[in-house]
Amino acid sequence: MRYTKTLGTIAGALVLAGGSMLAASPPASALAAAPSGCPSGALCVYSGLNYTGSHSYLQDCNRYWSAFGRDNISASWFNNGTSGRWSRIWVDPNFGSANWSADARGTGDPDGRDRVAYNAGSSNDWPWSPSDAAAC
Amino acid sequence: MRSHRSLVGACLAVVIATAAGCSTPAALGPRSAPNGPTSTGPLPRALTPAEDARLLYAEDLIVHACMARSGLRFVAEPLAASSRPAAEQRYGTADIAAARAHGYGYSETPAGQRRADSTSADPNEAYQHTLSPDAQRAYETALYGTAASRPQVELPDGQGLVIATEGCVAEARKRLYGDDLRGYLISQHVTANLEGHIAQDVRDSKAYRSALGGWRTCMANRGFSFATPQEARQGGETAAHKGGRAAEIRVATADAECGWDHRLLATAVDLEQDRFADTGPELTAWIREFRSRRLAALSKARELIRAESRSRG
Repeated sequence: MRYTKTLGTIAGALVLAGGSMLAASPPASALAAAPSGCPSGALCVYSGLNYTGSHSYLQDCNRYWSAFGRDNISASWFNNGTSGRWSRIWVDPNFGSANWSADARGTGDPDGRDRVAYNAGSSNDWPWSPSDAAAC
Repeated sequence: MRSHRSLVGACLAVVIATAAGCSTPAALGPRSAPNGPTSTGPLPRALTPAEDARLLYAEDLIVHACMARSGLRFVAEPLAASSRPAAEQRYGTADIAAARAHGYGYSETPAGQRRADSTSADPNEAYQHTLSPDAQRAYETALYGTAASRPQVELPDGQGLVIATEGCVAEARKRLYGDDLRGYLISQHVTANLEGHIAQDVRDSKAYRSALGGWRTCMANRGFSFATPQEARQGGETAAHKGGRAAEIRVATADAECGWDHRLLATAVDLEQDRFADTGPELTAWIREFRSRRLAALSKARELIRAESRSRG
């Protein structure tokens, strides 16, 4: 995983697929598994609960989710990273001075409705500790 | 972008909305997770970044050995991190003596250690990208178990958290933090997100912003135009790379002296303690659980790292 990619190359890490949005998603308790198809090493972000709907597989840090159509479309997510880094979703672009939601490696939020990043994600990075300053 | 939402659920909204009159018990309500920790007493201290880095290295040493049993490669490397309290990274430093002697510590990173920042390359990610799709899936299964084997556990706000209970990462976590992986990972998730939320709340507070204004003016009078201590720290790191140790120490010393003069860290720590006190007994119990398990794991980590050093001769 590299953390210094420019926006020009970020789009290559992105896969967007049409899919249902929140209304069609099953309740969080209905599923109990990591998302299938989420590549190893990626932060996988979905438009629907329980890893449904359109998705972005983010291998790098990304300052502007708007560049690939993911801005404020984040209902569930999963940190499938290999290293001990946390995945962190910021509610401001470019890691602005707002809040974030963080997940340790191998964990994820299948229902982000009570998370600050719920349909609010605008950038992401991969800190060693969740309280680290943003770096990309 | 979206404006302020709660963090680990309605209960945590209390943290950011204390001034608005929210009450913790009502917010916790019937959605509280069952079987949460019940311990009481003062909160144990938080680990320093260097201690966190030590635990992560110990985790990775276990993962390395576990993956090797399956014939898979996983590199475990120590991370260089500050032995200063993590609060200094969040709010600013006030340790003038340490700043004069060591700067921020960037110039003293031992050879062979990765810097604990978000920009250094990760050898395991790079290795994984060289594997075929099938081999990548096998690698992921060895690390975390199959996707279907990862259960969803309930957080204190009633929401779910998907965790890995099989594979090498789970094995490492159990060895270091105990067999109750569910409890550990819930406590980790709650604590991490709550701490971040509280830190943002502290930085947004009137008292901290006032102290920050004084710090900024003080720094400007010394020739440094940083908006925040985080920027100063990054400036110190850049100075270390470009101008060496003396340049780093100049930034760090100004930062610490201005921080001390304007009580930047002291103000933040006071506010942070107030916010933690406002989270209520259930969340406090989870934080206590997390910190206690991490503190208890330090001696195991030290032994693992010592054994690794001995094996390398």
